[in-house]
Amino acid sequence: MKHLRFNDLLRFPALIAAPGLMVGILVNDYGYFPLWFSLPVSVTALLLILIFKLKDQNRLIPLLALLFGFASGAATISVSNASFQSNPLGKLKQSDADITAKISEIRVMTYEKISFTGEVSLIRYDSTAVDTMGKKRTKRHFTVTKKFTEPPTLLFQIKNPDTALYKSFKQQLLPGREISLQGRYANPLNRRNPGGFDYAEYLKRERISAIVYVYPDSTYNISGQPDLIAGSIYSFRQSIGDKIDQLHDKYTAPILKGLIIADRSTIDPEIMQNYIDTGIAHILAVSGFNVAVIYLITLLLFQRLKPYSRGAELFARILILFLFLILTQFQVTVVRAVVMFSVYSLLKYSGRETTGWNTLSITIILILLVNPQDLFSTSFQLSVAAVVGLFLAENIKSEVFRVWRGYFGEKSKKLLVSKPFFWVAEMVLVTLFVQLIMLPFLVVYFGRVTLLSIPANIIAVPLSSFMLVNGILTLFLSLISNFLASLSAAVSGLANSIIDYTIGFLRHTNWGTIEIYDSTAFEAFAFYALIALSLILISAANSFKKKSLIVLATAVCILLSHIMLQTPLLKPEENYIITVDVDQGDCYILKTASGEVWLIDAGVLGPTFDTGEAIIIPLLKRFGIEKIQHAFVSHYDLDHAGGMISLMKKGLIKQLNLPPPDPADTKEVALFSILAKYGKHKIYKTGDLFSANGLSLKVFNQTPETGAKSNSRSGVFMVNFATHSVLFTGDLDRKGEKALMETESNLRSEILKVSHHGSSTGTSRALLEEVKPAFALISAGVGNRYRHPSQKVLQRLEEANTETFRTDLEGCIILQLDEGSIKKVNWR
Amino acid sequence: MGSELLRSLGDLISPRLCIHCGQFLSKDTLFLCSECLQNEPYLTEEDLAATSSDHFPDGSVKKIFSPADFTHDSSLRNAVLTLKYKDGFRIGKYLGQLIAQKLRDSIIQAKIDLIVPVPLHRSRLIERGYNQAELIAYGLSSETGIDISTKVIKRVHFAHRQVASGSRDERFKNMQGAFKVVDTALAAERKILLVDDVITTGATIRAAANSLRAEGAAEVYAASVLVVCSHSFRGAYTQ
Repeated sequence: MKHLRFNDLLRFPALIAAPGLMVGILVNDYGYFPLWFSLPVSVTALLLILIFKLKDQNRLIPLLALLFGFASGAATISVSNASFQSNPLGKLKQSDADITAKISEIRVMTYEKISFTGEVSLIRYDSTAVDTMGKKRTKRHFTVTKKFTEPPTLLFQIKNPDTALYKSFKQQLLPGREISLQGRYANPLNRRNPGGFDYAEYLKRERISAIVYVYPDSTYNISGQPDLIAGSIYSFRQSIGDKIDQLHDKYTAPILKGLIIADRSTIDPEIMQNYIDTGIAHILAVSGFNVAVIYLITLLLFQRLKPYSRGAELFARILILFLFLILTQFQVTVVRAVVMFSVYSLLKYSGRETTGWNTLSITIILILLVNPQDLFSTSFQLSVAAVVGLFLAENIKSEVFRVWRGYFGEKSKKLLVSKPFFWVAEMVLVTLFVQLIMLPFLVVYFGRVTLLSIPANIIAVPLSSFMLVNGILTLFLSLISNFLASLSAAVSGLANSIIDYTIGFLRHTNWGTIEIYDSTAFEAFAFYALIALSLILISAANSFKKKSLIVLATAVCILLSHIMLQTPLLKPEENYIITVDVDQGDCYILKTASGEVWLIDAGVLGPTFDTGEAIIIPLLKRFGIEKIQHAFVSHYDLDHAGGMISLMKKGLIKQLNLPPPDPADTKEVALFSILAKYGKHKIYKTGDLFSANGLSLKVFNQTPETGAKSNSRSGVFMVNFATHSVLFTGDLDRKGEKALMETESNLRSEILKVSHHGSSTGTSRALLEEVKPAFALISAGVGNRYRHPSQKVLQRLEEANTETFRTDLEGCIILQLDEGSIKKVNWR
Repeated sequence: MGSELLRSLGDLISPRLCIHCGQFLSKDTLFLCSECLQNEPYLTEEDLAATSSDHFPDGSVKKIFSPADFTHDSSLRNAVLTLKYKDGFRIGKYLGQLIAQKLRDSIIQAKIDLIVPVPLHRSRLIERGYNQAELIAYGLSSETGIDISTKVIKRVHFAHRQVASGSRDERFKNMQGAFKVVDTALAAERKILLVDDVITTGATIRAAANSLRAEGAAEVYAASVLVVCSHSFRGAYTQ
């Protein structure tokens, strides 16, 4: 196929309609154009295109194609958005509820987490109303039962289910059955922390109205027959997954499940992070790569059919691809690849040699017309960007190689013009281009771009395509002989450990990696505009030197624009106290006008989640904070001290201040020694005073008494800064509070960090009497299993006339402390 | 009308481009644009006669029907390459029709009874998925109305690709005994037109023709899209 010039593009209506469609969807997501307008426009444009084409009048077609794309995009998104219920319970944001739902899709089924979606038919929840009688206002609690005729889809999540619950759910949970259970109904927050993942947006695009955090001690009842088709597909997937588990070792099986049936739920988060950080997550995303391998297998499989009937051969091939699509549950990346291969094969069959760009455009049109929400899906965006990068690399490859050959061919350096060299060079070029086009998305979703993806791809792509083919082969072998299957599985295991070792090593070198956490949508737009401009200039430039100069100039422009477009979230001249949303844990950042940054606690370290690495480090980068002068650990529970480990490892903390560990408690001693290993630390005690640049912290409640519960011995800090006082009470319980009030006479503070995530074990009326806080901060995870914060504590705070901020309701809370006043910063 | 409508719709989704120059094709052109077709090095009757006797001095094949010379910038060469190596199976019939359109009179004059495409070895057939000569033969048959049969001869031994290798004698030795007549009744006493994509040295055609004549075929003719014509052929093979 010849390379197309810009003018030629006008002759491909799909090439124009596809961007038009995407713009139409983006614009009309806000609902500017009503359906009665967009639909007739789109139909008229299409009819006109057909008429003009039949008359061989090609002049107006590009314009009409653009109009058709835009109008049909606008129409399809407004139909899709109209069918979505964003607030199924009206104004109510969160409530404990009894829910009955029909299970639609089981997403995760592991010991750490179970998650599934369901169509809710009935929901019974608590509501409150305020009665006003004269001057007296009383709150009235009552239960509401709501039945849905058009059931909204809700996402159900169970964290750390016990073994019995897991086993019974694994057996009984099937699409189409009915389940009733109790949990916390919650409307999703868009972002929990600045720069964080927009969960509400993600769920909206998945047509999910709200989340139900199922309490692990909930009673449940599963009844009814499973759906015939969805149920059997799920069971088939399950049995393949189980078979893979059975045949392979525990490191290889999760990866193979990702490769073959697109089930990534069992992959260890650390390994997943290795894949992401080295830029090869696309392998696990079941992308065009996997479908291409399946496509090649079908080519080999049905070759013998060709001489008899090419139609039958084509049909068989497309059928296999669609079966794979069903098996991977219509994940958007697989849909993209399968539709693209099918379009390509069909066009080829009809005798039309077509360009990749045109095939891609037709694919985009087909997918987005069916589900316009896919345009907003990360996987779709990355997948399309990757293909664009691939095509660009393909276009530019021959020219680059020609210049290379011209230069090195003369100098008889055989290696530099040999076949293996060009094979590697092609991989490098393709990876570079794919990374370049995906860059804005990578920055927004992962906060980093890395050149590590070049060596990682060169090693991992061939190995994992081998694993995919061999994995399928192993499954078939296991039908014949278990011995042969286990041999073949061992080979996959070997390939997997080579990948694991290599990318683990690469990731820790951290070479060629840029981390960017403060990008904006405008920047992404500017980026693509610059790339497009430089591509046009490159195609116009006539010498290789000029072309190289244009590339260089583009790179400089991108860097400059990034530096100039930075917008700081925290003003340097202000004082802030930031309650980070670390789910069920504590983490507070204090930042003064003088640039001093202190940290109190650092959230959770769990088997699958490290708050320090996943939330706090990106957040610090988003805030532009490079160093923490003082960090304090209130006590040695993992939801307070856990996240501190990775912060220490990264050397972000100048001095870590720890409470004395109880020598009788081995866990405390172990955690202390881990934390102490990584840097400067100090053990604090009651009466210690830390102060610097207008910020001071006084330690209470550190009696060297042993044997008491760790919560009772929680370090209490009185912080004074910018004329305000804040009392941090850790996880202090009633016993500790009593001791505190006995020893300290003046506890008055403007802000109180409520102890133990608002548990009723602390925050007694007596303490509130002493502290008299105007504001209270509560850090608790949405729908946590302990049902924190307790209603009793909330009521006590209300009675004490305290304004309460809760992370489970509003995510990260940033308070700006001005002289004499406190105000909440709206960072969203 | 129906197929024209479908073609217009198809062009809307994916416009067709000339195989040779990449220009957009108009509504009623197929595969090659009229400009490229015009610039083909077409052969005259005299050229063809000379080439026939050059390739087949023993008279095993009476005459070659090939519209154009095999040159490197030929658009038909590009079309044949696409047909053979790029899965472009739809081009076959078109090329067959093209041969018939260019040489209709002389083919009719020869009063041919049966068109026989040069068969592919089974393993090559499976690899490619189709026999390009057969597709060309179908086009030729549909345009001239002459019967076609694929059941007359069979390829019995597998020869390696020979597009640009070996001298004429070597090639002929290589091809000897490559074909076997399966249906002698069909061949006996008849004028047969052998069809292949390209005639380079004539070795393949000669081997097939000899087998046919041994089983009693009256006369054997050959047709192809391109032929290596005597002058260019001398330059390439007589060193």
